[in-house]
Amino acid sequence: MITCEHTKNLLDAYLNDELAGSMAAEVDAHLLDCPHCRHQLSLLEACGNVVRLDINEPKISEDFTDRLVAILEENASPTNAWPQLRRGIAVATGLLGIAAAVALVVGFYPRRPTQPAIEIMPSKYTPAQPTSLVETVTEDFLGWPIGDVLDAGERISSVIELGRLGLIQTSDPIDLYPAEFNSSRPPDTVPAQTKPELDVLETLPDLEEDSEVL
Amino acid sequence: MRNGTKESRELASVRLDEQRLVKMVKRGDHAAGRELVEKHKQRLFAFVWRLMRNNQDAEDICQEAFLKAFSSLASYNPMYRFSTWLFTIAYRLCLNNKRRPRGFQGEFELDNLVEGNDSSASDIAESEDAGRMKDLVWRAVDRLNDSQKAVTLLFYRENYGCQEIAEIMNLPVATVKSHLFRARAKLKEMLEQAGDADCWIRFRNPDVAAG
Repeated sequence: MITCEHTKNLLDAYLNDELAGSMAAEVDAHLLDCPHCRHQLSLLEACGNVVRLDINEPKISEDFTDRLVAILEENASPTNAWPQLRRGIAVATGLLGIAAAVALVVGFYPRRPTQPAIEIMPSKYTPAQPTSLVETVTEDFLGWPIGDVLDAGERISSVIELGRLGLIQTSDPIDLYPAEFNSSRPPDTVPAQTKPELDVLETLPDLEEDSEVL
Repeated sequence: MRNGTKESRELASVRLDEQRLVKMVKRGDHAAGRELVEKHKQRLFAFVWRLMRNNQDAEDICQEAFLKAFSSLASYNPMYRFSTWLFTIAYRLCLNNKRRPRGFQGEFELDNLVEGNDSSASDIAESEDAGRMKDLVWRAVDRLNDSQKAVTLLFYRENYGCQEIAEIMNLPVATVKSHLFRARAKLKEMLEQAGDADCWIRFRNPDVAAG
């Protein structure tokens, strides 16, 4: 036989249906004989019954379900799939932009050339060995025609320079292709089309006495 | 005390029906969604209203709870009742709402005075004592803290066991039982005090006692 103190401690479990069969029977037996504990149980049961059975809350709005379903349908509509599509496009665009930026940076990044970007073609022209003008003039003076040593442009420059230096008389006609010179080169090796312009020689000023001689 | 066998059968039937509707909603069946809402909306609203004591807040929370529940059906575990999941969401929304700083409190307090509508589930004319007892009990429930109130409502009104309540409220089972124990003690104490007060009033005013 359990006491009132035991029963008081067991009432919650009793109300929760958590007592084993034998213990629940003990509580029932005590309640039959104990008005105080019966009163305590009645108070607890009354509170529980009121909460359970007294439906006293206001009613929810009648159009609650309609409004909710409308929202659900709107969220599920194809037009609302656009946000997802836009999101997908934005992500793809972002990735493309990043890829383009990377390509741009890589393309413009000044890489160290391991080999020339443009192949340098070997020159077909072998520049003549540099000779001093004096040597050139000396050779010519020794009989080599100027026209046999220099090309047309260089011949003209040389003649002008020679005139400036006073090494040749500018007033004297100069036959750049004298055939009577004693030259090992045959006179007919000089192409006629390379005959220089001679007019410019007549415009050169006379050298002054104190001009420097190279 | 509860009748375990009958309730178990009813619960099993309800659960199967719920799972069928949830599957249909997952497939995009809006009619099934409507049916689920109709099944749970008033009970959910009553629970939320008891916590919030404000009509507009309660409806907003209920709407948000349904929307969140439907939007995350992929993660819904069919082991649990749909209502369990729904009440879990709603309870957390209530707590979040209560934690938000509120502006004008006047309307809130005014709504607190509104006990509910006049439509009662009982067809029997209510005696004065019964009415007074209900009034006392609900006033006592209102004075419980949020956790004790939620446990009381979920246990008695929604017929959840302590384990399910623990899942809804994200609490250990022992804590749920502790809350239930304290809630019952407070409700009982209020009724006892009211009973003592009645005795005192009758002692001082025999005419009232006689009338």
